[in-house]
Amino acid sequence: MRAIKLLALLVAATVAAGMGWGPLASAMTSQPFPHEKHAGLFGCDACHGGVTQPDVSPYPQPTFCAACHDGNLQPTIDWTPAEPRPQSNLRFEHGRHIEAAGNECADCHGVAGELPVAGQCRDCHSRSEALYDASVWHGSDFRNRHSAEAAAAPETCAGCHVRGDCLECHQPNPATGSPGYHPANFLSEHPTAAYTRELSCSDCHNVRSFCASCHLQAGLTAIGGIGSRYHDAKQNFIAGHGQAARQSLESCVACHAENDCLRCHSALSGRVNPHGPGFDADRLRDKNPSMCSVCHGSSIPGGG
Amino acid sequence: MKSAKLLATLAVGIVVTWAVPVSAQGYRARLDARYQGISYRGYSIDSVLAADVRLTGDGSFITADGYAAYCPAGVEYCTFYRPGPDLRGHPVVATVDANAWGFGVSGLRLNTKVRFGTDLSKANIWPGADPEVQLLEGYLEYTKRSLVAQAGRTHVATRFGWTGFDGLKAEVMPLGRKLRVLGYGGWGLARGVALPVTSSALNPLDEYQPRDRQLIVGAGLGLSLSRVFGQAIWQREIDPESENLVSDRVAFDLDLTPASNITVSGGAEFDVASGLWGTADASATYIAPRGMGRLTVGARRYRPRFDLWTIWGAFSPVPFNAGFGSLSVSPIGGLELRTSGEIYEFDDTETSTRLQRVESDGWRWKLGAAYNGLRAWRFEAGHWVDEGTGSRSVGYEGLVTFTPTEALSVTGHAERLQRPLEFRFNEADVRSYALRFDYRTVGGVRLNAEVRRYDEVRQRSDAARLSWDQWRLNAGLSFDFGTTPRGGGLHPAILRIPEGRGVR
Repeated sequence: MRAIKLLALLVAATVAAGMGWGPLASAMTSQPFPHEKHAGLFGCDACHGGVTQPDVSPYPQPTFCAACHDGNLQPTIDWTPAEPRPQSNLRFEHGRHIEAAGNECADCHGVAGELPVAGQCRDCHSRSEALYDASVWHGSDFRNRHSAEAAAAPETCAGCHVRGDCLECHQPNPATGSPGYHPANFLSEHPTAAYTRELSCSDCHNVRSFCASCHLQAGLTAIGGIGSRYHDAKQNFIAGHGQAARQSLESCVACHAENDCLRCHSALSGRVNPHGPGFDADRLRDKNPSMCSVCHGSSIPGGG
Repeated sequence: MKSAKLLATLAVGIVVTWAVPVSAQGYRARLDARYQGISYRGYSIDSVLAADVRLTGDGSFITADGYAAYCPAGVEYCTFYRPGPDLRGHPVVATVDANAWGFGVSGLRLNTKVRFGTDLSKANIWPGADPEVQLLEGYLEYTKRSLVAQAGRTHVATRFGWTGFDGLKAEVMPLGRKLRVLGYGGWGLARGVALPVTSSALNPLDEYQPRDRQLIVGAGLGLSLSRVFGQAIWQREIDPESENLVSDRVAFDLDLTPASNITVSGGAEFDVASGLWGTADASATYIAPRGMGRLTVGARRYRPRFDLWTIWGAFSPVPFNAGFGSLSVSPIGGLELRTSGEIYEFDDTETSTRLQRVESDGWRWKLGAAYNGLRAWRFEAGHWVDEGTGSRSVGYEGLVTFTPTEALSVTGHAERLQRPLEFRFNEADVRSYALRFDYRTVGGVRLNAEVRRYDEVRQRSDAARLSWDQWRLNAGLSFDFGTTPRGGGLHPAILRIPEGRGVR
């Protein structure tokens, strides 16, 4: 009951803050050009008329400014047009949004000339294609292919998107269960995807808090070794588990604790060597001897 | 009680921050709240005297009441699994994401993201509600021309994934933003979660945990030209108590656009600590004119990585190498057909045994279609097969979305998943059906609700087969608001000058 009251208080406070005390002051001025000072003199298209035409700079030439800032009428200024923005996969056309859709410049840029954020686009593009199928801006099937592009060049995304846009789907927290990133009913599908890392789970999820906590609740946690008729679809799983573990170790540790393995794989007990291909003992001992001492105690081989 | 105080402070803070004009001059905020009705049911381990089990024809053991038992030689007790209790929970999670600016310094803003979660049931079985209050982000940001600096709880999103920390981050973009120089450092958070590694919430299995948070430092260099994007990143984490490394990695990305409809991208990681190349990928994409289709081919290599304070790196996990491709075509307006596939093979584990054969390669294939040629309807169908190591699955699904108005959409989803698991004693056949509503009001409030039914048949040969059938409920509220106008908002001076509106 207390939790409900607290949550209600939080919701009410936030809604009240948004609806009751909304427009307090002007928007942020993040650009060096003082748009507000010039807004009463001429329209946006006096300087930025080129935005609707391809191959025309969206910025005015300095000579245009010098018509007033000539040292007599107004102080001279040192201003150069901004560089064109680098190409991206964004398919935005100013002409379509102004001429066809009837938008005003300030609808997106405010009075201060700020760059819009993706959330403003969604104010209109809010139907089923809106966020999760962003074909309006990025072409068809962007939902399926955006991961590679985002991984390769997150800065390109950050040109328009804020982290909250990504977190609508990619929330590194088990509490939300929001749809969008994973397909519907991913709960049932996730063991298959996880075994061979169709997706890189640990980029967004913490194996301990996200995987092991749920598995613990579901009774899928082994406390004390392996093989207790859980993995025994194949006989002698204990004999073959080494290959399975080296291939999908991240899946193993989603249920098993270190002590499960240390019962056998430790120089202090069991003495079954777990080291395999690519293991560089000297290098790892130099980087973090604490890891070695878990199994080897104070007698780390080669440690001098 | 502590969390209640924190929440009350948060709520009061929100009101005070936005009710008093002397504070921020502008803000955007978003509230997400979600309720779920969920159920868990798994297994509970039990034991029985070895003298009370009997040997079956295939050489395995079974208890008197029909449970398959595990009886190592010479042990007095055998262990077995019986169906666990049916646990039900009602978690509620609310997240407030707020940006405020106008503190008297142009380019300065405050960003906070706070999450509150609790389980309304007594069972308290939802792991996402621990701890109840989490600060996901909370930093001051200063932006000026080619500089972005942040101080507080922030993160970097790089090829290494999502890395959070409490500290400083600065990015300088000289040469007209063609060059990017990034530096950051502070006290690190655990992987994939906004909690320190010392948090008890990250230790459900009661394992070893570091006593101190790791220090993190990183640097990056990026180049962004019209047809070339490249960046390199280096990141090191250090245990401050022992001064041992937790991780030490470098990575690079390269993205080329040789033609307007062709992109080539790739990148790789190198683990400096272990001296091994990590995850890498390369792909090329061709986009047909007029949205007629898209073709992607590529290759990737995946190697898991573990913090060096765990023992897992010493177990020599091996990478797999994969080739993949995807194709989508739109033969007629509104119709899209797509297929994708991947084949992969693990490196040699040097563990093979005649006693058991474990698969070392696999493949997956997907086929799908979507049609949105009708005004208010969208149809999707999919089929996939996954034949791999450790698990296999075959699935079918269908999805229909009806959007009668701008504000409302209704989605129906049905799926069948057959999921034999190689390393499990049981197999499963899951059918699920769902109905979802999404509603958006004019004030920026979004509501959604989903009800899903699971029918699962666990094909297990002993008495431990259980029913996991259940209903799941999910309801959410999103509210986006702030001082920045959603539409209109032209400066009065422009409205007073007819020619100022220009020619549209």
